[in-house]
Amino acid sequence: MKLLVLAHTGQLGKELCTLIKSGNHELCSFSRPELDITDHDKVRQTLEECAPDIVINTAAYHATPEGENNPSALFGVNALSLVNIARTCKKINARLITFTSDYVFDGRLGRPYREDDMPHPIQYFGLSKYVGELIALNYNPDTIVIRTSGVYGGVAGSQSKRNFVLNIMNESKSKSVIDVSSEQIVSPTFAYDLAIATMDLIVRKDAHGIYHLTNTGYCSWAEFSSEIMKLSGITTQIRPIDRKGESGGIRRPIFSALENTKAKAMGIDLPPWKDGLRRYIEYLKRTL
Amino acid sequence: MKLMLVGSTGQIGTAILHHAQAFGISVSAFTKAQLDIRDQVAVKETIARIRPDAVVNASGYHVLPDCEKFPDKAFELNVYAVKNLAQCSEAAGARFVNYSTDKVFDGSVNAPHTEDEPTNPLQIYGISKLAGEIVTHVQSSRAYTIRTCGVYGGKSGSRIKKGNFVLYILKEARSKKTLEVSSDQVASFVNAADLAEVTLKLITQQAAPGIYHVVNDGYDSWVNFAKEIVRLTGSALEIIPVDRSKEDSDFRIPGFQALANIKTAALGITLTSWQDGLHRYIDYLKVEHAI
Repeated sequence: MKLLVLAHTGQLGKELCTLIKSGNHELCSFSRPELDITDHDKVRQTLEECAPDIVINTAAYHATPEGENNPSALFGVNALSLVNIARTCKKINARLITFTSDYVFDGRLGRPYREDDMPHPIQYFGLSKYVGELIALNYNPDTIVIRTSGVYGGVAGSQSKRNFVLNIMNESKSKSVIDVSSEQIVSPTFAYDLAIATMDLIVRKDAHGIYHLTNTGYCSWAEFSSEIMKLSGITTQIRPIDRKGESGGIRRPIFSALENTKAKAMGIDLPPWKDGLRRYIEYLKRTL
Repeated sequence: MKLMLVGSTGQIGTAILHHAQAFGISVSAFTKAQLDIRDQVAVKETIARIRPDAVVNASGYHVLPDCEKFPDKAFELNVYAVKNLAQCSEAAGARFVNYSTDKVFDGSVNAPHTEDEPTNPLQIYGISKLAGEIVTHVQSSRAYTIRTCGVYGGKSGSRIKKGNFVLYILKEARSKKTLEVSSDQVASFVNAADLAEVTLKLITQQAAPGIYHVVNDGYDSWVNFAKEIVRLTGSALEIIPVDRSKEDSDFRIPGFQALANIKTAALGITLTSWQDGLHRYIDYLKVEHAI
């Protein structure tokens, strides 16, 4: 099969490309500078020339205060770029895979969200992702939307914001106590595990629509941080603080853990979050 | 009561202006040229200056093919500007009204849509309007989203749509013997005057915030709506039903667009039948010598 990956230097993009290359697939892939997802003509041309069976869009404008104050840029990347991508995929008969977020939900349900729960985002970031889902699903008939949460991976993480694990490990170098929010419940996900499950899912002919792929189980960011400290042998104390859903300059859902029911029914699931984290910390120890 | 109206020259805006006096409401009206709702600073300053009890946004980017061609514009006007208005209204303690559409639904349910039915918009316009609903209720604790369908009103209808469906049929009747109308869609219709009245009732009665469906009662195909227009005006135009549902299109629209006014009914606010709404509009056009 021929696959095309957009934003291949991101945490997830990198893992997917590694897997695709090690499998029996042909790969075209592009970084953000090589192919700006908002350059509609160039994207269309590139997709048509490459003519892949599957297009995997991992480009994302992450949840930041800047994004909240600049919706044009935020929606441009997370939502409106998909009009062009989905239309082109339909034209070239390609399957489209795009990744969205637990932040499409308002976090008030009090239990992990299932794929058919109704999204209700409470900030522009989540809304941009939700709109991206609607566009991708409605403008290309063969589309898979993968919702995930708290992705971390790679030696340097995401180019724009590293990742939670690296950031807290970095912060611990200069602090003996770190305050971390205790009230936001999430399903932090190891990019490597996400990539494996993604590749298993997207080659399935019976796959269609929305899937939740996260490491199983859930925790607060404070619990996640404590586990990071424990696994890496760092003595910095994590102090749980109830931030009432406002942290990093954005309103955040309180309980946004995702439950994987659809992929699980197809035999595709991810390991528990503690297990994913353990393997990531081991990888960092080996690599750094 | 003081009302600030944005989008005052549209069908809905014009009707609101017309009916406000009967409710004892004074209106500060703004056209696009007078207030660019995309300008957060201008919106904040204007609302702070006017100190309205309610802000009504009757503006919108609503021509479907335009939304497909210029999705950025659709989002600017139907989402980010709405967020500005809702946010500034809330800060000023004012109620906020935003209009939405049947096109937040996918029409897969073959019965009039109720307010709490799951949404699933199929095209850019509907998606942008749903996004507008979401930002409205996140920003404002006292907002009404009024979903409507098949709006017609005024002597000349919507400027940007160059009329409305009723005026379009009447115009065609002057020069044609037959006219094709798509038969595959079923919709609700609403006389803009009725829509404006219900809007003002919701505001003055201080109804609970949330989503309200407001359309004239009942529903029918656009073909039958067209035939009723022809009948009421004694025209000889023959309406020819054409099923366009199988035609390939760049974007999808719901087949079943009708809305059910569950929540307004629960408040004792009712609208007459679509036939009655249409009848009054035709009478109005005759009085205004528009036809």
